[in-house]
Amino acid sequence: MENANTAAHPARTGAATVWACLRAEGVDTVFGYPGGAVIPLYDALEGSGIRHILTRHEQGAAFAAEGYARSTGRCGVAIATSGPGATNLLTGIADAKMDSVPLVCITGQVRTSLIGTDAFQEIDIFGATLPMAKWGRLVRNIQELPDVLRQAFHIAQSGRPGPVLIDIPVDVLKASAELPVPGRYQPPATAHDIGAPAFPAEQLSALLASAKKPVVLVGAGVKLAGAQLELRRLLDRLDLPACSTVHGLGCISSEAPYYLGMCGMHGTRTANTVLHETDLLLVLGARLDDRVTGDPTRFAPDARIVHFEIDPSQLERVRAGELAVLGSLADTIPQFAAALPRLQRPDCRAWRDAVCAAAREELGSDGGGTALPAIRFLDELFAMMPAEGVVVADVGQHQMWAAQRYRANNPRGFITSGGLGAMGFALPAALGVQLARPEACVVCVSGDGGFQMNIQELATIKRFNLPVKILIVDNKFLGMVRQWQQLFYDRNYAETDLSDNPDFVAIGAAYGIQSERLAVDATTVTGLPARTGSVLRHFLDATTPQLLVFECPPEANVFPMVPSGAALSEMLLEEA
Amino acid sequence: MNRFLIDYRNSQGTLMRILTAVSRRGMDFQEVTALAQGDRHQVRLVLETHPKQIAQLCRDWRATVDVLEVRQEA
Repeated sequence: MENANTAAHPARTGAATVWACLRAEGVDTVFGYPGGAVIPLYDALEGSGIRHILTRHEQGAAFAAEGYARSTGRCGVAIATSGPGATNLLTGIADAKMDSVPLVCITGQVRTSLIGTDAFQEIDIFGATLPMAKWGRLVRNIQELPDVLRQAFHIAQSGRPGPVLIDIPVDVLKASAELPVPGRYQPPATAHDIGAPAFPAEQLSALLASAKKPVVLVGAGVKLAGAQLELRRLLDRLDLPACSTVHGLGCISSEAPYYLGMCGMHGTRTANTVLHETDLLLVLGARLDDRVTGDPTRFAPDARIVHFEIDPSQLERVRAGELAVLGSLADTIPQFAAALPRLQRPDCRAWRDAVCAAAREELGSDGGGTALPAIRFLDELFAMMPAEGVVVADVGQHQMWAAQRYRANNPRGFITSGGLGAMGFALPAALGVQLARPEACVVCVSGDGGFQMNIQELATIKRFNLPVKILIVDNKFLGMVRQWQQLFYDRNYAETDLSDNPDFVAIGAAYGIQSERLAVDATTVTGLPARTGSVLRHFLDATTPQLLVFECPPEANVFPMVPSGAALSEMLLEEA
Repeated sequence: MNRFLIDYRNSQGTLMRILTAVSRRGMDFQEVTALAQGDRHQVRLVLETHPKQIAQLCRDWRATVDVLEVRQEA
């Protein structure tokens, strides 16, 4: 540890130390909800120079902090009290772990002398987060507080980013000590620290030379490394077909002639077909989870895999690879580009031209007369959005329609809960995005199920007058579950019917948010009401929060779809 | 049976994270011995695993903050 100032220091409480350390880490905004064990922390908030956003539920605070982090690449911070406040953070922590989001969660704890006595609002949140947080600490005294906080921020943001937890007993927050000004954290070296191994140009060259159907798969690692520009330059020179995971959307230009679209369970037919047929798969920053691979034993069955990855624990998790290139893509992509003149190139022009042409046709299609009203509606919305807008999608059918149709121009332009698939994510995450990027057009796309999971955050949006545009795609069902029930459970729609939904427009109005409803109109060619364009124009141009409910038919499905446990080649393209 | 030696810095929760990498896979511990070894700690685990799990476990352990070294005993 380096402490820049070893002279005498003014006495500070633990609470004041927390705020001082957050400031030292560059934090300007935190999301939280007060309670008994963190009252001292809130008591010291005024004058800290940090903006606190009071959410209406701790899960909302965690997701909002995630939205802030996902849209900026900076660390998000969420605060909760002990016991239920802390447990309410858990879904956000798990979500941040799955999607590699840097998140620092600070929880209050009962006073040190009561720990382990099952005191009021005592829970072992440190223990509860062991399987899902990247790191954590129960702070035992005020002296270790600055070091713990600095270490927490370092760990959350370094390597593969992730969530960390700091649990602080209330007596530590209230204690006072003369503590040093925070310095820069120097992590201890470990035997397996990622160094800078030589780029394996020869092996890669040999693999490329023998490939007939090579393809690039881009994941979230590219944006986490901030390497999207280097990626685009590399892909322009490689000129190989390239597809993206849901979290990689926006890394590749959607206008690029080699772009195949999103792959995986609801990916494009072209991307999934190419992944199944490829003989050389270059994976850049994707962990190849089952939503991407389908049945992992039948994923890319003829392919040799070259895996560019920062996290060694993700290598060969589901499939053995031919070659691993370990390190940050901020380093390895430029190394790949620098080696390119020395690499042999595959002879695959005819195949490449054919699959890229198929992709252009597929991605350029509006579905003709068979397009679903929800898709037509999203197409119209997205076409009117500014280029640097941000779509924050919840979880379900609307999420996949949005992922399929939105042409993100930057890798932080499409935000969603991908790994954990946490319904209720979008509304609080969108408010976090809007706070981080006040100038941006932020559109929250939710379903009628997920919207009600964190509906209380309308109050947060209203309090701060955040111009979030909230779209509810209302099919009065838990749509994705219903789709599975339709396709695989003989239409047994057990407990997915939400036909008794409340009046969302009235709810929005009750929160003081301008709200509007549109419904499918069977009398028009598109199925959309004639006033759709003007409603969307007002929706997107507004400088205040907006809620728009789009009511659509319940039995609409997301296609293509790879059934769970099937190979990518077994995707369903339409209703049987 | 497979035997693993894992050196780690004895920080809060590190041993538990090492163990949860096993328990999350529904595997049983045949033996767990954790001891101080100079300036570091070492845990010896005896588990019944198949080869794919061995590789996954070792990668999970190596990715754990404060784990210093992972070895498999013959």
